[in-house]
Amino acid sequence: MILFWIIFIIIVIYTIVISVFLFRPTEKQYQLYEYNYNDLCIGIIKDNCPKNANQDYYCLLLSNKSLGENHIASVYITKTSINNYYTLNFWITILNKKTKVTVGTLRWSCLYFQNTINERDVFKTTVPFVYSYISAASGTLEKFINCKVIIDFRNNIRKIHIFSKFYSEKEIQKMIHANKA
Amino acid sequence: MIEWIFMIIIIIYLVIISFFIFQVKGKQYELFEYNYKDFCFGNIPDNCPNNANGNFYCLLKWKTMNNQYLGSLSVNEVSTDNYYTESYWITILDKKKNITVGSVRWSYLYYQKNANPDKIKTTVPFIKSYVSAASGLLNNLQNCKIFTDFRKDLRKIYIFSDHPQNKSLMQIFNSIE
Repeated sequence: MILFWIIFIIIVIYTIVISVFLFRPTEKQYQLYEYNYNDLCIGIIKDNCPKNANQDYYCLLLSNKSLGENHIASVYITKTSINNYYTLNFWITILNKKTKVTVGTLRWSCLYFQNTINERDVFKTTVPFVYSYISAASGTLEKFINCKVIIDFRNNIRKIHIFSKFYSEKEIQKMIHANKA
Repeated sequence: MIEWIFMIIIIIYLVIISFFIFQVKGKQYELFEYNYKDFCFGNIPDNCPNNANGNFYCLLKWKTMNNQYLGSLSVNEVSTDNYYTESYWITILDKKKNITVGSVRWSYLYYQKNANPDKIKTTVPFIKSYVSAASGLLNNLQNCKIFTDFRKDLRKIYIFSDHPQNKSLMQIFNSIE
């Protein structure tokens, strides 16, 4: 009987450990970064495919709640296209203005099909939303690795939404459509 | 007696749960292909005329998946004193949904003494490295081994885990100098 109780206590402890692992906190994390399309500096890289895009873009992000008062951030984007398939590579780098130290980075890429062109501005993305996943994150943003990222291209103020894993698709759609085009 | 039967049922249940939680990372193997001739070559002017400083890009095939997925490959290449650094980025599109479903990122540094008449072409047969970052459908490839077969115009990119079933790839990987 003593053996039974010893084994039983071990099982209970083991069950508690597993429960902690299974039901660990599922905190929702959301970040919104914004930049103005009109602030972008656009570089053109010459190549042997004149019909394709091969460019880089960069600017500072707009100040907002996600960034906080003490921080400033830059976005760097490279863009290439082949047969209407566009690849965008994004880097966001955040600086603490007081300590002058880079405190975090995010890196991801998007591939999307776009068969229309803005004739007034050929550099502009005409697809309303582009979806992807964060490929690499560091520093204060490390927790966003492999999180969903959605870029809203509908207005000149581009919005980059980043959602942690615990948001449902319904919640995500509601949040990205909160600001109508 | 009933207590012991109850105990055995609990133990079996916990063993099953534990298996799913602490399961060993499974076999990972992916193959991507692109044709060197499909590359678009961009040249970035700089103050070191003897060095390479360019970017390449093309579409690529995810051979271990079906045609629903299409990939793009972006490469940045710089060279200093015959040491070449190439940064690679693969991005995968789900063509039906028009959304990006995953990405893989890695870089190579290799020594190449005899440049091809086509200065941009890699003349080393194989180059190996490790995946630096991966996301979405390709998230499991994080830190996996990777090598590219540069011997033919149809370049093959192999990415794989240390699983015993990848033994033949491992042998090639280990033989690359």
